[in-house]
Amino acid sequence: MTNSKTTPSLSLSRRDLLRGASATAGAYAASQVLGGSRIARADDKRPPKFLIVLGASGGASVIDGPMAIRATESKNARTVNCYEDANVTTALGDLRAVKHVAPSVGPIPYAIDIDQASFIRKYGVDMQVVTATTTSVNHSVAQRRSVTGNEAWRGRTLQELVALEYGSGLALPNVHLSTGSEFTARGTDGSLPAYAFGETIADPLLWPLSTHGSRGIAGANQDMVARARTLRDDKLRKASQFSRIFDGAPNLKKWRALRAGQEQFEKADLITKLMLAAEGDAYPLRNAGLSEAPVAAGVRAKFPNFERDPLEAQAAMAFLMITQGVSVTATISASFGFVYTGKPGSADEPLEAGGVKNLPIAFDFSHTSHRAAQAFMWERMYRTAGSLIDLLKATEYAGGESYWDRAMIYIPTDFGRTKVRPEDAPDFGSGHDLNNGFVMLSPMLKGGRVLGGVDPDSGMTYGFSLATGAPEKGRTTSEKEVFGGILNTLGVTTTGSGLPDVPAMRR
Amino acid sequence: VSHKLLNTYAWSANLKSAGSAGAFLLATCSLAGCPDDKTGAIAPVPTATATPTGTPPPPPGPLQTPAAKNGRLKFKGGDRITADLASALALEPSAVCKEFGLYDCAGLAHKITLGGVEPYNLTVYQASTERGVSTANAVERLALSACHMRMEKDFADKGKAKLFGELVGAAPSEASLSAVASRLYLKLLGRAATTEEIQAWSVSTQMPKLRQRRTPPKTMQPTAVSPWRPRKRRSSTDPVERSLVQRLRKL
Repeated sequence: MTNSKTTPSLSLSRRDLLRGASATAGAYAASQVLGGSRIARADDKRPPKFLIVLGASGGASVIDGPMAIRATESKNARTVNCYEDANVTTALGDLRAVKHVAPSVGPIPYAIDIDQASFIRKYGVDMQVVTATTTSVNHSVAQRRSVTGNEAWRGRTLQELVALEYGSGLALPNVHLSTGSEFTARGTDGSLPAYAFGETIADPLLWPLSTHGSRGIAGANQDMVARARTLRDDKLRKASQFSRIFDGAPNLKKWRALRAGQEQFEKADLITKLMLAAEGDAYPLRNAGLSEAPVAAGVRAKFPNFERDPLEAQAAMAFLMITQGVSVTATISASFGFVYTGKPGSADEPLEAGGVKNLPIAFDFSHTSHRAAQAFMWERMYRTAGSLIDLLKATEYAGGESYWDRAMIYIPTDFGRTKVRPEDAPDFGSGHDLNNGFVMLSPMLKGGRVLGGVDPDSGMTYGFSLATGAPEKGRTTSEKEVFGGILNTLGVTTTGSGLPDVPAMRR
Repeated sequence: VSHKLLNTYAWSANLKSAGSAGAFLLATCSLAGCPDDKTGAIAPVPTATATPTGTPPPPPGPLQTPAAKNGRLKFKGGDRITADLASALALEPSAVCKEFGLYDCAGLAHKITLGGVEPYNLTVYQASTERGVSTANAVERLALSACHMRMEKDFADKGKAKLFGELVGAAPSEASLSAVASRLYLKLLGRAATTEEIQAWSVSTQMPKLRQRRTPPKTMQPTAVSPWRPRKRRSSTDPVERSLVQRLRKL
């Protein structure tokens, strides 16, 4: 069953046109260039929806988060990964929250005291868990499948499809703000127009500088630069033997098409609008003739560790890129790096409170200390999502609608974790398990819901009716179904894809 | 043989004369290096009379190289562009471009944008095969910054000027502008400018048209500054010629 929604024919024509013309420099450039600071779609009046992919690298186990099991519910409480009843709260609707206190995270001398309930109480109305059984326990393969639905639709990624649907005419419809994971995998459908594919921004704080060819460079005079470009393009290039020989080279055509859009890119003043950094010794903006984004202070307040914590910087930039009309989808993720501040710490001298930002190998630190790692990393995901939601809610899109009204935060993860533990062990190491679920947040979803359920005796999740959402114990949800459900919810045209419709997910 | 060699080399060098970083830098440096009242002396630009045999070589007419059938070009990447700029402009690589005066452009600030890898912190193990929307800007920032650095140095000490010496402390003249233009071509693109290019440049800088043709110098170092380079260089099939070309390149 496919989504019955159709895109206006004019829009399809434009897309088809862009596909066909993607090799043509002018059309390619036109498709790459930002027309203004707002979403600009001259020929498609359907307003965009936005997708933020917040990758939970390493295996975020839903039974250590919104589907936690109480000990009294399980016949095998001593060996299944379940929590003491007092530490599991039903925070909102079907959604549960874990409280976990530990003096250290495995061998890392860092005390944690985490309660997920406050997040779920505040944001759970827009939160949904979709149980799933995936197909790989290899990190890279599984991450990729979490965004392609196990190559459900010609190997296209969710981000590419959202960019394809809503991103034509934008400067950078599909931005990858994280590196080092396969949540930013490139899809395998080469027939998509170039603008649909993701582009990596490795350093969200310095990247805005590259949205302008000269501002911030000592001695640069913009009039002179404009004259130089004209001289280069109109005279020197034409006189060049290199051009005579290689003008037909595909890479050179693309390059020139990108360059043709430079001035419009610059006119959008993204070097200011995306400048998250604050004036200071590390970023002497005034000396360079630059200034921070007008909303930067508010964004920094939500992500106060943005200079030290890559995930916060990514999230802050994702917000700016979406609300400044640059992107319709942004991918961010917790890295596998150990991020901490202060002294390294030791058994005698623990790491300072709040000093650890990211665990080594992220959720996969569960191999060493399952519960502490899951608690710490879930809290990290929730906190990041919460800050993003707050910012998006506070920013008007149009007509009284906020950006959040049109957005989804999808938290893909590699896989689940093994469900058993040594008898009565309060913490333990876990392995990889295909059985798990995905968390997502959006006002467009039926919030406060768990689609499917969990068998408390085994810790294994089970599926649901795609039509009604009713739990079905004999069923498991596939990556393809989750993929289709997300696209349906975001209004992406899936006609002809063969993807299942999942009305149970969307409002 | 010498003419053939010269043409072979010129062709090879001409392959590098892209209209990108080199040409942009050429254009910006040219325009930026045209102050009102600068004078100065600098080493003469190589001309036809400076050939080793004393025999003026024929003027470089339009080359007969056909358009590339496949046109397989590869982006040079930030590190090589920086190295080329540093070499051409006699700068330390670390002085070519620093954002905010702090962050090396090719090595840090725009490393991934310029096709770099960073395995240790970012776990970027493979360079992107596609250029991004901001790559052209990043290349221009490198070129502009390098140009500014060279100008600062040249105008601070006329005696040590490397590129703009004729313009330091004197009003620009046809001869001085021509000399600077020719030197820029030589340094940045690794070849002499053609008449057509000098004329194009002169019009844009309000320089009177030059009537005399420039000819390739006797030696040229391959310091082309372009973000693109051919993946494979065409080499001669003549073993003697090929050997001579290789020897000449080692000079």
